[in-house]
Amino acid sequence: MNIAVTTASGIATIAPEGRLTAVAAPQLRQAVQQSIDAGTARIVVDMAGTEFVDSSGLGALIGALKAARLAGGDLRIAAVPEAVRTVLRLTNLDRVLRAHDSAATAFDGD
Amino acid sequence: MIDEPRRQRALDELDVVDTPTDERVDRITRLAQELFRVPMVSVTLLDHDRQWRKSEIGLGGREAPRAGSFCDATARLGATNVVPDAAADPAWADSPWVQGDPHLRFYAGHPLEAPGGEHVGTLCILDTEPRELDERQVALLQELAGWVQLELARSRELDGALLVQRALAPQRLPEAPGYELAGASAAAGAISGDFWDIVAHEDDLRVTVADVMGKGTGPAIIAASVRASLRTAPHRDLASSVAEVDRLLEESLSEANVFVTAFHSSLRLETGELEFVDAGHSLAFALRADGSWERLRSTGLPLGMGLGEDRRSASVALEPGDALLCCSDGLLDILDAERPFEHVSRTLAEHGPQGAVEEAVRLARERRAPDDVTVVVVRRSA
Repeated sequence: MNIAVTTASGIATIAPEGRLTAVAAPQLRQAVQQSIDAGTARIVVDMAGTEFVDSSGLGALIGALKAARLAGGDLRIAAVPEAVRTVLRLTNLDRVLRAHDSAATAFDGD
Repeated sequence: MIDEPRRQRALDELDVVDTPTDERVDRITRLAQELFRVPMVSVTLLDHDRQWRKSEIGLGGREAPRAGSFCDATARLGATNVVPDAAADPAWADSPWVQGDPHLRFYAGHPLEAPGGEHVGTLCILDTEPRELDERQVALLQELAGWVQLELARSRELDGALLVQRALAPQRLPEAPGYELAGASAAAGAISGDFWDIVAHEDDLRVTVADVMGKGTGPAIIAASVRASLRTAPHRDLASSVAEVDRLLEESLSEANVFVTAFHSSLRLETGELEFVDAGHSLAFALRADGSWERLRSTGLPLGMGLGEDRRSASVALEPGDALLCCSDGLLDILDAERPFEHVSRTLAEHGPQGAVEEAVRLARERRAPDDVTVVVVRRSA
């Protein structure tokens, strides 16, 4: 999986492309950890290019959210595919992983 | 020469003879049939004086005498054995396998080795027409035999895990006058990450269904520890029991990206009052006697998220004739996609809780459900 990371105005945007499964989950965790270590704990995971997320991928997102909050920041998700929204809703995880329309606006109003 | 006692011991240690069929091995025989386009394929084990087939296609039975058999010859040879035309081969022309049923003409087999190298059986392909195998096909047969060998050795280890899981499933359901109870689980792979439990505590029944995200041995072990924790100290209120599991998972699994959804409940038998804590499971329903249903929802997060979730219980009443249905998400894959709850209500009305649960397991196996399927039904008698 290809994961692009861009940092601007104190927010890191991480865009996983393709399938976010057990294979790619550690890569996502690593990309998030690197941003946090570099001093940016406000993170947006842009899922516009993410085709599929399984339970391992979901686990990685939650792990990343915990890491970001622990570092005093937060993690938001944007452009979330409908199938992923459904899983988040069913598991009540939409309470903590709020889906925003686009990466650019995910931290608006903070 | 073959050291027969040692060979038999190695086979006994594999602990595979007289076990049920195994999809992982059946898959290979099907593949062999497809690749070689033969009518008969067998994974044969040589057990004392008989051939016992762990998997077979077209032979019509799992047992045959060992003496004078092709597979026994292959094991003795200890190498790939190809008989292109048995009727024209002086060594085989008079064999009862050739002269009589199944009138074999072609045989090709490769020995299966136990972990110590003993030739315990064969993978073989057979035909009633003469055939030749080219070099590439011989290599392919050897390759498939190697794969069977691996699965036979591995099944021991997996079956051990399966045993643990079976031991943890409720052996016997508690007595609950005025209620009918049923529950079952069908694993998508060898082992399930789902579990269910029904235990009695004083005048209450504790009913639990949980689903560990992911498949295989790891999730099954986590499922076992979650069950154990929920069964401990039954006098605790539901929310505390669930909070304890939350802590346990968070401590031991914070780096593993694993989470667990669960429905944990307590049913007061006398009144039908059902108190429950839902941790991101959202798959429990009250099926009313009049055919309507409601989802037992709450907004709790899955367990092991480590986000300091405050666990709270909610409650609902089961009136006479109502039922509690709780399942894992795998059940949704196999139900009528348009009207899943009509499907459930109809099945329940026709077959009762036990029949409905058996029907779910049957569908899961028949449709090769992609995910583990677990379902529990508790019905209050009308």
